[in-house]
Amino acid sequence: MKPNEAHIAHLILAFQDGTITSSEKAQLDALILAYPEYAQDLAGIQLPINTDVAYSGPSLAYPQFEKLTVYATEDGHPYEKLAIAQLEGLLTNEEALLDKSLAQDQLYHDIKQKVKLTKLTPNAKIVYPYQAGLLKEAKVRSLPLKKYLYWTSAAAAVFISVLSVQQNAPDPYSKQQNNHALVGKKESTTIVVEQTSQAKTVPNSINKQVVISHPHIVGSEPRDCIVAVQDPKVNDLQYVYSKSEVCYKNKEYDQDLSTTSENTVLPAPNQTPLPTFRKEPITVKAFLIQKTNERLFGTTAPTADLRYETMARYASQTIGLPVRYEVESGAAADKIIFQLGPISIERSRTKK
Amino acid sequence: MTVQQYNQCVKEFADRLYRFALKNVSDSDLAQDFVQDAFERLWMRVDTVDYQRVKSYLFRTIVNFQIDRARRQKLQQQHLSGLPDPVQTQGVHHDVQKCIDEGVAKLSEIQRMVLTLRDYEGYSYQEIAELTDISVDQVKVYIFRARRFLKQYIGKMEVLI
Repeated sequence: MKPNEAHIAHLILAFQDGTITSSEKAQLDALILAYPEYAQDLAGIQLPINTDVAYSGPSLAYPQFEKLTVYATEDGHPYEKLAIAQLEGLLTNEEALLDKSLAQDQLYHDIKQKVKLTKLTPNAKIVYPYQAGLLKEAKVRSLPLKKYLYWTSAAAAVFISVLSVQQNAPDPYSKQQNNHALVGKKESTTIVVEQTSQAKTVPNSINKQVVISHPHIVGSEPRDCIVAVQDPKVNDLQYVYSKSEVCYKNKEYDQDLSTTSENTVLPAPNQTPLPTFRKEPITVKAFLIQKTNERLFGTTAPTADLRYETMARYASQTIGLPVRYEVESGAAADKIIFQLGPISIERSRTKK
Repeated sequence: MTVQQYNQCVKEFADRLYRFALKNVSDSDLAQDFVQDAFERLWMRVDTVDYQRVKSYLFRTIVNFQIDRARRQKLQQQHLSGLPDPVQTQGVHHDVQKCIDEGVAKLSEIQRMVLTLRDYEGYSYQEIAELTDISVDQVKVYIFRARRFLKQYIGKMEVLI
């Protein structure tokens, strides 16, 4: 809305007289901006300059602040810098003296008062309303997952190391096999002696291994990966036991030895000579199949019937339904029964 | 840190943290959330935090919350830059304290933070620098500028009154 003419005239006259206030000057500027035609009226007006009027305020030169180092890079009046630095406790000795010397300066005093007001003070009436909810009575309730993770990883490391040690440990079966190999070597040397002295010395390992039965051998069937090789010369040996050399575990032989003298020729023990084994390289796949079969069926090469029976037994135990696979041997044919719950299937298989 | 020490921290610092947060965010709900989250974090790390350094840990947490909030606000303002600012109000000043509070609210985030840490908690420049991840000189400058702004703001308000 356009201001009234009287107010506009008052603004222009005040501007002409030099008595215009800052707020009136702002209004006049806004008026000229909105109505540029008034600018022409003001263009011819020249402000009178009264040369008699002199500045009577405090000195605007501050030679004593030339050495002021605090907040040197910042803009601002030296009084402000000095007052703030005094509040912050950053004054040097010289600046502190300067501060004291300005104690009577009213302007500095006012600035200092205002700067002091900028020091914030916490309102003690403001309190956190839920402080009781933050208090704890129990020990930490959060799960220390990191701790558990450390323990778990440590346990896993130990477990893996134990497993690896077990895998690297000498297999008793392979040890026995090595012993057999040793037997072969010793026997070969013994045989050489036999040709000259007609006396055969039985190596220690033979007697030790008489009582050993390997856990992996099911019945008389050796593992597929091991080929049994029987040395024909072993049966022909006559055994000479030397008390000083042989360490027996078999009590029967201990008793016999207690009465025998050294290098007594004894009859060969009535035993089946152990087959010697040698390793044959097999593929990883075949090895895994062997191991799996051993675990599942107790033998490295289970028959189809054994497989089915085992699986049926496992299924019946697991799912709770009567599952049965059975082979009934007959004279001419085997009868295969397969039952799954109420359903039963019977087949006959002719014997080959 | 034991549970007793944790509870002692709650009694000693909860109010101070709340005042500090409230001064900086000007929102009581948000300030309460900050305090609660700070103590929750402390409780989760109660076994690892040193009792001697728990004060700086708590204030550091609040400072980080404020910095995160300021960043979020900046993003929001970028999206809402076309809309008028609903927070901007011109109130009548009945006393200098309100005037100062208003002036503090107009300070930049970092200036307000260092000033409240300095005046409320009496932290040294070095400690404030560590808490806010800025240099000591920057702390000094921020505090100077904040005080100068407040002083000028008080002067303007006095004229208006």
